[in-house]
Amino acid sequence: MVENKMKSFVPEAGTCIPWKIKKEEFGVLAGNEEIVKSSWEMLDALAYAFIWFWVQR
Amino acid sequence: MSKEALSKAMAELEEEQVIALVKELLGSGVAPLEIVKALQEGMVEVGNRFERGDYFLSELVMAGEIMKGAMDILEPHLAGESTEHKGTIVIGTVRGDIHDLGKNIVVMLLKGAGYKVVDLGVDVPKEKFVEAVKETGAPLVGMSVLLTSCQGALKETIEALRAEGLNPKVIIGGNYVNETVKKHVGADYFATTASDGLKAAAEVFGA
Amino acid sequence: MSDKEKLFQERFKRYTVALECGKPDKVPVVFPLGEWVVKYTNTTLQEAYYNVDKSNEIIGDVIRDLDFDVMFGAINLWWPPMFDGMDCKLYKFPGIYFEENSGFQYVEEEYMKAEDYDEFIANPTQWLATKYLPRICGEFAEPGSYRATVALIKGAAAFAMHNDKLTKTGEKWAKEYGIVSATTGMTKAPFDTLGDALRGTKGILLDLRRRPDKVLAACEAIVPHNIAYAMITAAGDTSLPCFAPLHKGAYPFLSLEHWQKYYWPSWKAVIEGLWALGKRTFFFAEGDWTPYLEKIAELPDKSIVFCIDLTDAKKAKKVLGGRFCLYGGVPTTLLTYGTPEEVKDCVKRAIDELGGDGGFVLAAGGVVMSDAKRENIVAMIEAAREYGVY
Ligand code: B12
Repeated sequence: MVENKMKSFVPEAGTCIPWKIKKEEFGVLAGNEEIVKSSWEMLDALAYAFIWFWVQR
Repeated sequence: MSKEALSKAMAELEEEQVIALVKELLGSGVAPLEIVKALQEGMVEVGNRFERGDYFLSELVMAGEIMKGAMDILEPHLAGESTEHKGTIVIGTVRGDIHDLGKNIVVMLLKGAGYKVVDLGVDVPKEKFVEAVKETGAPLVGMSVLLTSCQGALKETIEALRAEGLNPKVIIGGNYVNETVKKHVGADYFATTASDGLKAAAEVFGA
Repeated sequence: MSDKEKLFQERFKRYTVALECGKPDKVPVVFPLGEWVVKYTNTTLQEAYYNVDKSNEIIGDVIRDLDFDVMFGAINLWWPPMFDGMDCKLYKFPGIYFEENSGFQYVEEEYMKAEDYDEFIANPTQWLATKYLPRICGEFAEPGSYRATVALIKGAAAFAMHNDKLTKTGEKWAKEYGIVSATTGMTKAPFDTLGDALRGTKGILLDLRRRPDKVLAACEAIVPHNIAYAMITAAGDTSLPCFAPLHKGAYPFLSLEHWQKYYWPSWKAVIEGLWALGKRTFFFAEGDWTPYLEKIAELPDKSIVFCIDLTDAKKAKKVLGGRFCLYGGVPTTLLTYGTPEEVKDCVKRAIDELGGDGGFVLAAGGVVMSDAKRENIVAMIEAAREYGVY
């Protein structure tokens, strides 16, 4: 099962699934890592804001 | 001696001690009503400390919780006993408004001072106020409002009471009420603190 | 540069100079946006809440001919379709629950139980996603189910759509009307994050006696999140302050001792953390904060804008003036019950008392709601221009 491969972690503030965790799961990236990383972080921040939106009312 | 200790423990917010003393007094045959009275005396002291600025909302909420715990123990023993009180007051937060912390304090202190309080809760439609006044014949109605946008509901509620020929005195309370709002809505008193409410009640009931 | 762009630059400078405690050319004046703009139209409140374009049209009509600098407040702070899509219980809006012209209501409950503290503290974001969301949203009753999955897609889509709309609206006000937004981004005091939506007012106040260590640990755990949340919701902007509506730090919630122990340290840490990133905090002190002014004065100079609602304005001026920009001056009730004449007098007095040496923004103290009168708001803005020239 997939879940066995997933490490447990405590994401730091501003992130849900930090890039460094996901990068490990991706393994070696064949292309430009910076592009993948910045898009990942942008969407991750959006997810973070969504989750916290419901308490920051 | 224990009754004074109970009042004191209540005033000092000593939860465990209050519960223990209530049980002890009950066990030793003290009349449940006497115990309630001692608790109320403690409550009055809590109110006084709030007025003096020694206690804050957090202390009042705690006091309410302790009182509730004590009453849960006492209630089964109170059945049948006629509780005497100084008079009945209907109170609620008006339609559209759900703020109730201030109102709850007022309820607590009025009860502590020996009134029977019918608390209608929050977001109370005018019909419910009318109904409650008809049922209880309460000579005093308290309306709490925090939102300025709901001050119109005060006026509507008071008009609804008058339209039914009901003429209890009306006291409005909340942080943004003043003489102007009072006049505008046709109330008899306004209150920005709980003790304003106690004063008005004393006047109405001559207590 | 278009005329409107020039106007924007001028007003932006006026506002930000005041935020820096300086003396601009005129006292910046704030337009209090709220439900009151809707009542002068034949649109219902429900329509205005649901239909953002419609409410923007209404706002556009009201502000077109007015000369003010900054806009504060919102009609569409919470977009009901997003709540409906997830069957979220936090708010009740007109439409499903109330008739078309009622305001909305918040439903306060202990959504986080006392026994949840440890799990929340250990991993707040995960706890919110996996425990809190299912509790506040009917559609998430069975996480992972068809219903829950669809609801999550809708909620996230609505969130992105609505945020995008708000951003575009802000840009439109700036470009077409030359108006500056009062704030960018949003945050809270950790004690309020915990007390408002998680433990509830009663819950947190009792916790202060029953499990004080948990309250402290939770507030500490929230600090970095409230800094991150501010910066993400501000999209990195540091030119304008971050909105922070403050609740349970007002008098008479906590004794000074409790306030100093439970409310202040974590809130101060958020403000200082933001300030270190160059972000100022819009200290929206709802209610009366008079007893705590001396403590607030400990903050780094200029790190906040202090908003005066029911706080003693003269004392605020004395304790905070010069080191922090003050914001306010017109009581919300005056906008409802006063006459334009009375409003004008009040503006004049406020400028004399609070604005004399700069570092002052003229505004309504609290949230302006549906009861305010248009003529009074126009009078406030006009009087600000009349008396507010340095
Ligand atoms: C706590 C709070 C909430 C809590 C309420 C929790 C609850 N169970 O009550 C929550 C978070 C749910 C809430 C929601 C909202 N709130 Co609110 N809230 C407050 C806050 C911070 C404190 C109010 C309070 O409890 N004070 C403490 C109590 C003890 O004081 P009090 O109520 O004044 O009561 C005392 C006296 O007034 C008097 N009294 C009161 N009632 C009565 C009645 C009688 C008969 C008598 C004799 C005396 C009396 O005695 C009391 C004890 O001394 C105030 C700001 C402030 N600090 O005042 C805003 C405030 C009231 N809220 C406001 C707003 C706008 C809202 C919302 C619309 C906004 C939102 N974004 O969600 C919703 C409205 C929901 C609704 N439909 O009602 C605005 C209202 C603005 C306006 N123009 O009226 C305020 C003023 C904030 C601001 N500065 O803008 N709120």
